[in-house]
Amino acid sequence: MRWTRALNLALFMTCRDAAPRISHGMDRTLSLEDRTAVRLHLAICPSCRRYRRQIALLRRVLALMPHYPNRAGDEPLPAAARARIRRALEGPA
Amino acid sequence: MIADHDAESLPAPSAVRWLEEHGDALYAYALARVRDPHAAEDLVQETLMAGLGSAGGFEGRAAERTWLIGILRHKLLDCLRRNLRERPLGETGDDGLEDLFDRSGRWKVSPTTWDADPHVLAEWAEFRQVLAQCLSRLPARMAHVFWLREAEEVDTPELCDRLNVTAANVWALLHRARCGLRKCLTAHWFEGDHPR
Repeated sequence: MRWTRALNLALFMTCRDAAPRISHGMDRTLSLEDRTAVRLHLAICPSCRRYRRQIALLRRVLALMPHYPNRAGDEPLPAAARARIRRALEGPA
Repeated sequence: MIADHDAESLPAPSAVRWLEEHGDALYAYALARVRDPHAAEDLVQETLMAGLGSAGGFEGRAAERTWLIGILRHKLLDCLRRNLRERPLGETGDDGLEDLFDRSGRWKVSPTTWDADPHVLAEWAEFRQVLAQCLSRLPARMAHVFWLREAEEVDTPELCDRLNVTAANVWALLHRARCGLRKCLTAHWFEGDHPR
């Protein structure tokens, strides 16, 4: 019964249905039906296979990065803010 | 025993010194995530204040910055939680990804093969620049949650707990981040015209 449902789901599964499930599968355990349907869809869909490999690569790359990649490079703390924070830290002595 | 005596005779940990030595690092860490200079400045101040309140929670000078970044990280999570409470995420069904697929549900633009070694990419300054640009095109909190999940390897239950959002929200947010990033990286790195 479950397998029939899974087979149905897979046969009628579009890439639009598969893509979020492929992504969610990286963050949780999918239901048996979803897992089966996604596997069957992946078996027949090279685009979704490439999508899965892309987001898996993204995960591996980010996990290897020591720091958040910063667009502007590291901007220093502005002098005015530094002075204000210093006053706040020294407080009413 | 000697250590106890020393601890008592030392001046109180100087938050002003922390500001001098670690202010820039804390600011850069916060700014990359919240993107708003004023919010980042406030977070630096809150972090140092909190550090003063719990001085002694770190072991030695070498660990000082790590300890302060740890405090800042908590402040950033609080900030993200407030932000998500004030402006909740859209319904999970509304994933904003309709334009990726045609009417029959197939990819409009089929994902391409990314032929790359993650170790090489992670070390590559030019790639990090492009990734930074692509992350900056995502909404700040989406990029932040994605970074927590993928780079800091925080699992979904912990994200839900810390951010006080549903698991479905987190999964949808991560999926949207992945779709946005892969599209941007395809255009600007993998299919782009810069040296590889």
